[in-house]
Amino acid sequence: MTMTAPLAEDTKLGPKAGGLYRHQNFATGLIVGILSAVIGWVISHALLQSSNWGSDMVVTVTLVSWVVGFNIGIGSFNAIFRWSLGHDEDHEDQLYGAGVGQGWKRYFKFCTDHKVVGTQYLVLVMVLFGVGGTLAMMIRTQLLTPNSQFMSPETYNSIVSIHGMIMIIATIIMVSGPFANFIMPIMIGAKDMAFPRLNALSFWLVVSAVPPILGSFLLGGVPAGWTTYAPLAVQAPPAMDAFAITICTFVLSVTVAGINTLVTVLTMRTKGMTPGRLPIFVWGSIIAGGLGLYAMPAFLMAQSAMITDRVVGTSFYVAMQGGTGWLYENTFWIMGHPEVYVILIPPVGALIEIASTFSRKPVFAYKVMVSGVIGIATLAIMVWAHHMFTTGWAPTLADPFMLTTELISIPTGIVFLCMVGTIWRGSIWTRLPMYFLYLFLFNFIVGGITGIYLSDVPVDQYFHGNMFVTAHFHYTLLGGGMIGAAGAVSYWYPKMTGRMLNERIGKTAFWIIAAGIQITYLGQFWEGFQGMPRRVANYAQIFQHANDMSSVGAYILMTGWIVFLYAIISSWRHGVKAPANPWHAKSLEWQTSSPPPLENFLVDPVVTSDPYGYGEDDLAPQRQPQPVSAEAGSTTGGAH
Amino acid sequence: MKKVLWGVITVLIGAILIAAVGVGFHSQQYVAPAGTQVAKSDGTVTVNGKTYQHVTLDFVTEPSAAGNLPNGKPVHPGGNEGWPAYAPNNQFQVPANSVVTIHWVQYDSGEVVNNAFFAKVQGTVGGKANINGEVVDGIDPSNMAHSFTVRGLPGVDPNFFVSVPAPSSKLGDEAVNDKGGVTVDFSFISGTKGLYSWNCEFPCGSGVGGFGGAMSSYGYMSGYIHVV
Amino acid sequence: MSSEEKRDEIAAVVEPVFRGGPLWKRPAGKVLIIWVPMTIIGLLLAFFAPGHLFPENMSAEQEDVKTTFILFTALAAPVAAVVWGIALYSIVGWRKKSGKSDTPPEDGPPIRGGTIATTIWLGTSVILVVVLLVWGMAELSSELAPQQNAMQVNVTGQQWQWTFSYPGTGVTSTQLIVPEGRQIHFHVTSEDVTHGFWPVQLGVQIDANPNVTTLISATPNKLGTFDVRCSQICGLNHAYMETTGTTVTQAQFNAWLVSHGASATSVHSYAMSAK
Ligand SMILES: [Cu+2]
Ligand SMILES: [Cu+2]
Ligand SMILES: [Cu+2]
Repeated sequence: MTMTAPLAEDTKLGPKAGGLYRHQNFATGLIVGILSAVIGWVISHALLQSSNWGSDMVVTVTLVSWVVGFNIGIGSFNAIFRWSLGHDEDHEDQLYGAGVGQGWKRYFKFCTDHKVVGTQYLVLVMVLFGVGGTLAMMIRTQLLTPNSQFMSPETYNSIVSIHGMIMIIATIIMVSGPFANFIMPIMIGAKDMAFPRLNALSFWLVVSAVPPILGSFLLGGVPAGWTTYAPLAVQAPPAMDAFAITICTFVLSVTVAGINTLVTVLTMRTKGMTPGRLPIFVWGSIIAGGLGLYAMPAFLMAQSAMITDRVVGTSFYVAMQGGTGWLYENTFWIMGHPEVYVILIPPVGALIEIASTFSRKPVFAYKVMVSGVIGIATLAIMVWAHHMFTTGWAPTLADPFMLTTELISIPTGIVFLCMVGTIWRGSIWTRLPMYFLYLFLFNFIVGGITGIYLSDVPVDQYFHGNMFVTAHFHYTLLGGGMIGAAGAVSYWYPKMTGRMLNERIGKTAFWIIAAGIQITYLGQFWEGFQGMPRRVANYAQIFQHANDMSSVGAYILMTGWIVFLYAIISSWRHGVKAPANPWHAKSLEWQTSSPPPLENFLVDPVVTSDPYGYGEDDLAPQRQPQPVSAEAGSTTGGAH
Repeated sequence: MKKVLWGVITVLIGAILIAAVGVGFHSQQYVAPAGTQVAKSDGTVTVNGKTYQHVTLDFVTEPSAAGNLPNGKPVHPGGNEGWPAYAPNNQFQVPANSVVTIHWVQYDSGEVVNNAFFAKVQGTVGGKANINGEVVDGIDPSNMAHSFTVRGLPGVDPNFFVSVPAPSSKLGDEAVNDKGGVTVDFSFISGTKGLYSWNCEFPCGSGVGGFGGAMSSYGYMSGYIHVV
Repeated sequence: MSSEEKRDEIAAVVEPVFRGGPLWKRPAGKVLIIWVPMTIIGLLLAFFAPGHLFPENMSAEQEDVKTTFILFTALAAPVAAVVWGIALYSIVGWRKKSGKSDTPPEDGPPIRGGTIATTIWLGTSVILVVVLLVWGMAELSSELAPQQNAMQVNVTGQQWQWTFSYPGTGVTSTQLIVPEGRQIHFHVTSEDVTHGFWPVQLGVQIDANPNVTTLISATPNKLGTFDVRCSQICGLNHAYMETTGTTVTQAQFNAWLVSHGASATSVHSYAMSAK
């Protein structure tokens, strides 16, 4: 299926290479995970005579045991065990760990090759979007009619929460998982990520975090929205423990991945890859990674305190015992606002690569753009209380938070300037990735402007907790973020799979998605204007037309995504073989074969300019692009 | 052409999978096994000089959903131990604009209610209820067990509001499923056609504030009234 | 910026905007042809759509919401039209025919940046942000200013009911009745979890938190009914946590209190209460 790198074909590893890794895979992870969960359940159950099955302590111990057990079973901690026993891995072990000679099986193993991890992430993201999208269909079906009884309010509330959190998890990793792992190291001319084992760990941590949150449906459901505000969440069924354990595990994964991204870019750049020559996508990845390192630990704290409140009866959030829900709300949004940009910055970076490649022009105002993104990240940590304008927590801070929030529109404007400036007078090549850039430009303007209304405190007093907010952030996160990710998939697909994505199917999907987004979320804006609250299982008759519009749009949208998924899957098997550089782009990842060999380049590339030198061949020599020199080495590449 | 066909097939498979999940969640909704209780007709009755159709409903509240009703049948098959529950139904059907008389036997223990407002009888015919043989307009807020509080769903008769409290069982904290019941009888005039929701406003569940467990699980302390 | 770069920028950015033939032949002119109608449509929407979208105004605060919405939309329309105009024109005017072929079109002009364009863009966004901010702050401070004849209503949220009490009169109700034409101070609290007190057509909102009393004020200026909803998910029956409010005249209000058991003297002193 994939073109194997020369190293993988020729190298015969010794029969013992890899040691314990030889016997470990996804199945052993499952077995050890389940065994360990059962042991955890038996022990906690026995220790807590008084408690019955389903109590918070038992659920917590069982699920933590699952997470730890799964990761032991798949081999996440093998190296640590070895080192603690005084052994080290030799070169053969490392090659085995990178998946040499294991064919498709390496995708089900603890594999340290960044390209394998990137592909694993891509598949996981699609699975999570499938689950989250299915839950969205449940929500929209319930809301087809006023006072619908398709689901009980309890089931509906749980679905709203889990849809939200699954989608947040999926969008956080949708670009930084597949592309910051697969593509980014190649873009800077590195052989792998700085910490390959942490890279694999970050992936398998997310995998082990998924069953608890899905299991929450069997544990009574989380009726508190994805924000799980306390004290409502403290009061919720044991499902909330599962939810919190998923969050804690996921935060560990994001933290590990963020450190890895930062260190990789700091230390692994190839010769000549100065900061001023980094592709914008690399800048986006490290800024988002760094912002994640700031933001996500707050979520870990918020949810750990939630667990202790629920399990051992602390009272961080319980007002009757001196706590306050505002503590949760603050820690949550200290994570929650920056997290939005952790989601959005990587797809924006990818779209700017796309803008340059398909306009055949250099990125417009490169330095201004990078400063703009840094500005967004800096302001992002100072705006969290705009989610709390109507809580009554700090009325006197309304003005300052209104200021910082509105200031963010300045660096966000720079993103538009850069995109539009890059397109300006370009030679527009309308291949599929470019379509997604245009859709982003449309949707993100809508999402951005509606965000400005919400930043105004008096207007927020009408729209807060209202479907208008829901429509706003779906326009940004789906209409902006996911569309950017779809652009990134269609752009880097040939590099990752070695095949071209079928553009005819892709464009069909594109138009369905584009229409679906507008119908769905304009319908929700309409609901919001009329005064429909968020997260309600039933609504009054007056909202029916708007809701029906939104539901029909959602069905269309889901159809579009399924068609897009079909394009991805069918092209993976039957697509036309991809050349090394199908887009004739200038960044490094296109100067090696599709897909690249193990360690990416046969000859270490040397970089002499940034990768955007379109149309500069006849300019002064110091501005001529000579981005790569690994072309000669990519003998396994395609036609170019 | 072949690709189009496969594309359509993929979309269909997706739709079927989603529909299957939908069926699964739809069947999750907990309706007490006895189903919907259709109000029994009982002639007509005159209130304030106006004649209405008269119907009756009856139900009990039990300290444990895992136990049995006084008639020996289970409260909620598979119900949680120690969770109080309305039984045998949590969904009711009554005709519109008629007098509904409810006979309620309450077996659970009582406590202090968080909002004394709900220890008062509200929205019933005459503003009163017959509690244990005494016609009263409220009970002692420090010894309340449950309330039966009905309101119109969004957009359906929004001013409709009936709330009747029930005091603790005669056995107090020793309450059991089949002894010591107190009776609560009252009538109200049903509203216009549509769906109404009822729930208990006494935090009789588990967890912080008493709104976990039975209070937050549909079917124990909550349900619907279909006004037809 | 070196002189060479400046020359580049003038050639690549300034030229097509400000020089070189009649305006409609330059890219800038063509974008302008798209921009003008787009902006006009945006402005028309800004001024006429909100009236149809929002529910009826029943308070000074809700009027503010609508006015601000119109103003912000009017300010945003030309900005959105710039981005959409260039995007749209780029597809029409700059697309190269080789859309389906595997070889890219010839490279575009190597425009690497433009101090002038960037400065104009940044300058405009700074001015817009200042306008938004000053407007928002002015509006907020006028809403918060307490008025002479203000009256207090206590609001209690609990799972899944609102109750309203009128201090001093002993009246508690599940319906919110307020007199017209005076500022109402809502003192909002919760018995259990966080709720969101939202009298929709009054255009204000504040959370109800346990153990805390939060404050919001609104001045109803129209007789009639409005919706009171819970805007913060609060568990099982969150969707049903709604009731109606009614704005009545002061005389009707006093009579309503008396009919709910308040003594005439308590009603008198409550009605006269000024904060
Ligand atoms: Cu935010
Ligand atoms: Cu109860
Ligand atoms: Cu509420």
